[in-house]
Amino acid sequence: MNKKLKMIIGGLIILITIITLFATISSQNITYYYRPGEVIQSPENFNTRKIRVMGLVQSGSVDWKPEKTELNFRISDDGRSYLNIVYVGAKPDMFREKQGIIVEGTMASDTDFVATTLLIKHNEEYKVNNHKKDKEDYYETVIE
Amino acid sequence: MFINIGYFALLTSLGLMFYASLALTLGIKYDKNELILSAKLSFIAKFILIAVAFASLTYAFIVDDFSIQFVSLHSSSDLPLFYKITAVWGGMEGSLLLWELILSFFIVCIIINYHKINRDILPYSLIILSLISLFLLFLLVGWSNPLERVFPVPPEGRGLNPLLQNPGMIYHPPSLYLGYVGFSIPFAFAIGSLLRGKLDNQWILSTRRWTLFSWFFLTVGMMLGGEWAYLELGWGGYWAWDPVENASLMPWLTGTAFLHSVIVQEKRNTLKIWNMLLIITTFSLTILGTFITRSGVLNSVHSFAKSNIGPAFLVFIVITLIFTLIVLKTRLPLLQSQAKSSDLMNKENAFLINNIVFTGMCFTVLYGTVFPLLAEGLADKKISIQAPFFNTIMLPMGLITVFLMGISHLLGWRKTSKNMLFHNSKIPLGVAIGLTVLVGILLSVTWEVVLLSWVIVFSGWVILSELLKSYLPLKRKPAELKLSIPKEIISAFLKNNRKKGGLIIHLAIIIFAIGVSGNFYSQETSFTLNLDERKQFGDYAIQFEEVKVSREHNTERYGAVLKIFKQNQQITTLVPVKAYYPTSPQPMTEVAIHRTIPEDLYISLSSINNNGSVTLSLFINPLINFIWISVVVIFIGVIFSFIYTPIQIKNKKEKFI
Repeated sequence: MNKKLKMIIGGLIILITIITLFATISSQNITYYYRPGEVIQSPENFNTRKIRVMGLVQSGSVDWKPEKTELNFRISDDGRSYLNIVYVGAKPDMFREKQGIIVEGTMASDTDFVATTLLIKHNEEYKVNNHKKDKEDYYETVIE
Repeated sequence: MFINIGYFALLTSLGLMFYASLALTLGIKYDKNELILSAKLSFIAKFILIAVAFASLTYAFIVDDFSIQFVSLHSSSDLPLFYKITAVWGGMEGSLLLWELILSFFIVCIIINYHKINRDILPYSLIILSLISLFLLFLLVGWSNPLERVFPVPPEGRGLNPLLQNPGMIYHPPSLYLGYVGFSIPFAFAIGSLLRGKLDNQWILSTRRWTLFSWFFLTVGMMLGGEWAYLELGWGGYWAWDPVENASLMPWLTGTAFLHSVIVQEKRNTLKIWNMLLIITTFSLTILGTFITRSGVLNSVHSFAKSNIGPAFLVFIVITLIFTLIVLKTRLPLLQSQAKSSDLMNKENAFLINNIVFTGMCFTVLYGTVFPLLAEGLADKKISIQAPFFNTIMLPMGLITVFLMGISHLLGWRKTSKNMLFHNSKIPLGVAIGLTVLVGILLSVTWEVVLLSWVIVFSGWVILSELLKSYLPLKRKPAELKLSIPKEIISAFLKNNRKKGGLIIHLAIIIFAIGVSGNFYSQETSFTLNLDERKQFGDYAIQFEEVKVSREHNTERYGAVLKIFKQNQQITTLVPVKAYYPTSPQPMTEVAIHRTIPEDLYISLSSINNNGSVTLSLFINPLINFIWISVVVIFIGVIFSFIYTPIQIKNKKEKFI
């Protein structure tokens, strides 16, 4: 009985440690998505922890400086609030104007979002499903 | 015409499977051998029919029959013939048909193979297999019919995704499917023996080779996938904890655990319930894997709800789990194990820890893959789980695994004498500590690298010396040995194939771990080069010569010609390419790699700029080729394990039930 109790207590301690570790590690590595408008409104909230922002690349906003391998552009998801993105690194293949994009990084100042990763959504199949198409059409109408 | 035959073949197969499941059930119930035989024949007929259906779809691809929707969505007339054929499994519908084809073939194999042995379990297992087959056929004739017509007929197809136009695409998906489908055989035998109520180790012995076979192809499939990603995606790595990758890793992890824990059942007659749970989990995860990659759930949770195929898969998984767990529960009393051992230092405990670790890894991957989907689906909150989550948890677990791989070869079943263990492990321990201290001093490394190199050296040493020992004749007195040296050597060469197979595969995993540890030293940069400009990266200097334009098949290719120097000596010329496909708005990157055993210089062309300069992404990946080498070693090891034949209980004519 005594031995069994010890086993149970020991097992519980190990289990709790594992769960705590697991929870800590996973919460440290979860990245939340925000909208460009939310980020612009309160940039001071987003200058420490990495976040992801999703939007469309504004036409005419793209400035690619090959010498510095620096890419500047603006994204928006409502056609009103535009977020400046600064990205240092090679320009991704699929990067185009009016392209849906996810940027990951932090606010470096009140105006500039420094992205460490650019993610461009692409389908394995070319079928653009209707739902998504509607959304992009919608974006295209709000962003000139 | 041929297409109609194909569709008719699918419909007939569906009917045959209905018949087979019914005939088997009745045949078992009323003890009618003729019914069971007829069911077996219908499985064979179904294999032929599915082959016809597959041939007709392939034919449609070859002749560019765009009246078939699946063909028009995944092929185009300018595609090279080779890729037209591989495009058959370039989308979901064709993949499912390939899956069904492989499954049908496997079923025929076991029917032919086991017509003498396993007569008692086989009919029960065949019921399970016919149900799996029915599910796939339902999808194939209904929601995801690869032979569906489209009207009006498009003049040209949409083309195959350029990412899939790579030789790796021929082997990677079929190899994964061979692995996935292969696991349904041990699964069917496990459930079959539960249904039959015959719970000795027979199902494990008879499906040992199937398990190995499936494990091997799953492994190779993932490795090929990694190689494909490395060559095709241009970001310098081979694994990104992407949900699609995770989907294939999960059944591999539980499958590997299963592969080990069945040995414990075979030798010590324990872990019976655990093995059942593992094979049920593995099978469910292979279905989940197909579901995750093919249902569109990854693009968005919302697009998932719009397709029928996603919910169908989910329902199938849930039904499988409920059904099998109920069956398992009713047979629970029969599965209690007798053997108990009080000693802690033995092989079965090493296997047990291995199993816990592998299950833990699988849970981690499952959590990281599914949690973001759940968060979006249930709480409408979009999150993503980052690669460091997986790396932080998987690294220590991987370390334990590698260590166990070494120590378990020094442990005996039941109990190990402490003196023996100390005697056997002092040399590898010493060597490992010595080398690690040396590495630590020389390379001022992090604790991860210290631990990793320690376990690699320790286990590598143990495995190599055990392997060497298994090839040497047993030690005898010199006088005795002299007489029969050739005979002893030959018999040492031929004996113990199972042990050798295991050791060689473990050696391969050590080689793989060496390859992975190279990640800690990879370098990465990107820069822009003007004509004739030279820039330094690591030990290399890269000089941009010219842009070369060429046409090949359906692509237009722009290659940046780069001269690579090392210590002012030109070592090679690399030409990373941007290829434009007519069917795709975006160009494809074709990387150029200078491969050597110590490291790869990996260059991808990011952009050709307006002023004629080129922007490059460059990576140095140390030790990465060890990963590809390990695949070859695994292959050799699996051959050894295959040579070993488990002694099966040959059943005489035994009545059913």
